[in-house]
Amino acid sequence: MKHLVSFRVGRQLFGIEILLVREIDTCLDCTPVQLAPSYVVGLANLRGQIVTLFDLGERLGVKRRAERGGTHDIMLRSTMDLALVRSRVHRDDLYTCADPIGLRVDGIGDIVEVQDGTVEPVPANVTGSERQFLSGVALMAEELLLILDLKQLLDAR
Amino acid sequence: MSATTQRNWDAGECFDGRPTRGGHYQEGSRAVLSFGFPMTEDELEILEEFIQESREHLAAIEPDLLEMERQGSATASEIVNRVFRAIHSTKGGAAFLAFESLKEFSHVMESVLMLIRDGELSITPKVIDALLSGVDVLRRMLDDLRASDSVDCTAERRVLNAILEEPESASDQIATESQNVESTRAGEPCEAGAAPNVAHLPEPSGVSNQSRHAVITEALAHGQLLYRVVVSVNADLAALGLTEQRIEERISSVGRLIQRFPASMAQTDGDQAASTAEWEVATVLDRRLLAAATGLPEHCILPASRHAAMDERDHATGLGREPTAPAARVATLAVTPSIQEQPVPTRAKLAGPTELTSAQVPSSDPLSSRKEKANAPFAAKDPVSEGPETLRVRVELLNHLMDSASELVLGRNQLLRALKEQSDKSAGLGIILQHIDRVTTDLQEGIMQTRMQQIGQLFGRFARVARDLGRQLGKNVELRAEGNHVELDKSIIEALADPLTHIVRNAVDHGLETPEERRKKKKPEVGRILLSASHESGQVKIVVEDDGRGIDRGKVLRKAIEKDIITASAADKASDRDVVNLLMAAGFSTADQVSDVSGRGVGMDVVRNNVEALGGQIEIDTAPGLGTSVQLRLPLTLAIIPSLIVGAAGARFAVPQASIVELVWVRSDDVQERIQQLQGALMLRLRERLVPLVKVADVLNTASVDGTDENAAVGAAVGKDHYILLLRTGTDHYGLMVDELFESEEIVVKPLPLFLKGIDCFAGTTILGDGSVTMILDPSGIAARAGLRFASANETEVGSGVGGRQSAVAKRSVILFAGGPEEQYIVPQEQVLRLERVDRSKLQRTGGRDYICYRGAGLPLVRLERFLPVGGVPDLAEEVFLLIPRMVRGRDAEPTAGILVWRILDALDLDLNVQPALFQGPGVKGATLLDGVLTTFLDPVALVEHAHSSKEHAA
Repeated sequence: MKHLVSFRVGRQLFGIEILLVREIDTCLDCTPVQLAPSYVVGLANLRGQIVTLFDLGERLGVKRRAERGGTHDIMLRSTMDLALVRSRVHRDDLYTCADPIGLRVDGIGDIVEVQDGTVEPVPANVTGSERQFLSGVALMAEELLLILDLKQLLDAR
Repeated sequence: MSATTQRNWDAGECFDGRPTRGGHYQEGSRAVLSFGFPMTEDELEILEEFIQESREHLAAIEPDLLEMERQGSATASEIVNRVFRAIHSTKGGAAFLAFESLKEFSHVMESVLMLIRDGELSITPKVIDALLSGVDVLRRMLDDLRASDSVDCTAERRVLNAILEEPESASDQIATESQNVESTRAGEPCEAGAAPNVAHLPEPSGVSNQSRHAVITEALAHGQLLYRVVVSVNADLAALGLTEQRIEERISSVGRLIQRFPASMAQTDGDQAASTAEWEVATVLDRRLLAAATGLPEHCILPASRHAAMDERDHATGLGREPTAPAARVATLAVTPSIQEQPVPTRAKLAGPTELTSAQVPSSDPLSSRKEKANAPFAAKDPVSEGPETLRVRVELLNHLMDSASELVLGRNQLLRALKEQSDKSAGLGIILQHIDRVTTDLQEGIMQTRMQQIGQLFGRFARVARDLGRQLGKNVELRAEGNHVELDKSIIEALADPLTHIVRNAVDHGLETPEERRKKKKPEVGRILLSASHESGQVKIVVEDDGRGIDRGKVLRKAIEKDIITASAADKASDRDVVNLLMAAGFSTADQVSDVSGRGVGMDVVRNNVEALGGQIEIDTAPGLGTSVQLRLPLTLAIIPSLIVGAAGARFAVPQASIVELVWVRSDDVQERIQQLQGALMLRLRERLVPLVKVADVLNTASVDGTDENAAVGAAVGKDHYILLLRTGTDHYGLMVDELFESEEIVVKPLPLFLKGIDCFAGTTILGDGSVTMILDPSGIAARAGLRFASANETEVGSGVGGRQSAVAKRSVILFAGGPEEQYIVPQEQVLRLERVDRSKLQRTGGRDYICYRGAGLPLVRLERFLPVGGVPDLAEEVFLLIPRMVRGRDAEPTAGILVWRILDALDLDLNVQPALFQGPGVKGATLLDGVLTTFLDPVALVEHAHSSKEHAA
């Protein structure tokens, strides 16, 4: 059984395994960086650590909601943070990158429990640009929850 | 960790009582970690420590081996001993941890070293070769200890064994060398080196003072270390559930018990709590391993010096203890203070130490004469004979601490700001804030200090580099290092490894001559390279100096012409400085170097870039026939750099102070005159120089590279004040236009986040005092992005680096001017020293020659119409221009004449398609069509030369 943090980008529901999430902040102040990739919102100072903030909508190629009411930043664990978690839960399938990364999303949902057997591969009819960033799909009561594949998402190339 | 880590445990060093190398005696000692006896999880840690330590040993003996090779039979015995001990403790550790191959191979090496030490084998390059490759084998084994048994070392072993079997046992050598060597083990066979591991528990006997000396001497001769094991019976033993006897057994199983002071002896005072038992032990194990082997906490194991041990013996048996306790005693007291209460002499009198010895050796101790001399300083030092205790810490953790510290600094700043008002009102708050302020600064500085490392560890590896390459090239090389103790930030030291390797290799390869050549030149056959580090005005200066042939001017120039870095005519005029700069010009390094021995593949331009990326500078001095010296100047640390915060393109940026040459403030009134636009490129007139200007917004905003935005940029240049940072990149300068200047701030440099790597305009990021994240600008990255193309080997004084946004390398930068209403000309930009606007009234004519008052002197004036069949500058023109050709390439270029020009039209980058000129004349190279206008291509240098010679002729 896994716990996922669910959140929305545009109208779509996404999820990231909770072990990969360090904290969730409301929209942080950040410094835009010229010449950066379009999906980098900027750099934020999170208690002395410099976090690269992604516009997740831009990264996935999903249209963000215009109104910014529920905008949140999901801070991912860096490799070092994750090393600590790893030793506790003995999971080696978790992936993240060495830099602290934050994902700017349109709204935070519930923590979702997903049974191991219920995660399906990405259906063939999900063909959008987000497809490459997905590791699987979980069927919720009313909708699909797309599980993000951080290995793809955090691939700097 | 420095390679000297183990030193303070080395009994040999202790008895010597003074630094043997590098001048730093009180170096860090070992990490202190305790291990319980049945080693379970700690085993791994011990293993790690062993690997680390052995690597350090190996790194440390390499220079010693080279020194042995250099000194040959005159090698001081202490060097041989040091090497011997290092190999020996590697062997001891390997035996203890049961790594058979490692143990056996180090045993073979040890045996060879023993022959050398005993003078039965003379030191030849062949022997050193064998030992060096042996070191490589050991290193390979250490790289993967578990697989160490499968490391193939047969070849190396064969060589070593061959040496063992047939030592060139020149007896005269034995005679002379044995004087340097402790002669006490004369009767022992060679394989004695294998022995120390084996426990001998010699029979107790009432031996004399001398025999105890002998035991110690012999132990030292075997590379064993002396320790005192001091155990508090009530505290330590009770806690560990051990008995004195058990400990003694354990000690005996790993080393040689020299002397014991059972606890019972000390109990006459009735002070039960203070009763301690002591053993004096000689063993090959280092302190940590001994602690592990005996199951005692490490604080119970005290390194003992030979002198201290012997002194104690002297006092104990002879004169009785004096109030001035000998050194080792002091160390003991420091750890177990309770002993202090005991009247020490009592113990000596009561029972007397139980003497244990096995060897009957002559008492002549060649070293005892040095004892007194060494004793005085030694006693003073000894309370810290362990050196300042050190601890191995993961760099990761240090980085984390550093981050936290900088966060604390930010917090402090915010706190100070927030409480500024209150602190005026409420008494006492100000003092608290001040205190926090100070402590925070201390803390941050302290943490910065933890990253400092001695450069010696880096220097250490070059002796081998120089030697190996020297042998390969058939050159005799001697590399000396000075200033090993100079400290630099760890990251700088790491980043210096490659550039320095390249410089040293260059020195051996290109700098030093072959022995025959050197003989012919009456130089010593051995080429010398001196590496030195020193502090100089807040920076560290590193110099690599050789006494070779110097830089061959002709060769460099030929190659530069070949590579199209410099034109042939410019080459003729190149100053020595230019030549040196050519070496570091991009593209100078040749392809054949890349395919050369590994470790190459970089040219001096890469070296220069690397050094500059560290915020440093590089300079090369050379004297033909005498040698070359490469000087690097580096900041002490990269982590915190002073920088200027500027506002531009709607954001704030940090610019490292180190790259700012000067700040130029151009008032709105002067903008028209001082900032000029040439083909969309902006230039600043600065003291008769033309400096290309770059606008931050243009560089950072990709949209503005097209033409429309450029016009806007130029428009903005007029009508308001401008701040220009004159930045240095390599030897070139350019101006960076910014909108605002804020304060200077010491910033903590953080690396560029992963997803922003490759944006070469930024050198990193930082968090400013107000908590906001700011990008740090990278001057060379900006220059590259702006497409600035500096004239090659250009000199700082000459503003010929007129910028142009251009991509094709084949293009040439030229200046377009009108000689009069009818003719227009282009001249290569690199041949122009200055362009000056002059008032017509300054033109003068004396003795049939034209002059112009220029900088308070008369400068000969060249009128085009005098030498060419063309019209001249119209008489009515109030304002004319002076084009001063650059007659000599380089800094020392002085104006020798000026060409009178009507108007400067443009600076262009052109694909030159030169056709034959319509007319002939001095300096006329041809003609080309520019926007439909026939334009003469002029070589101003040739023209002025012609003018000079014709005048001389006339005169």
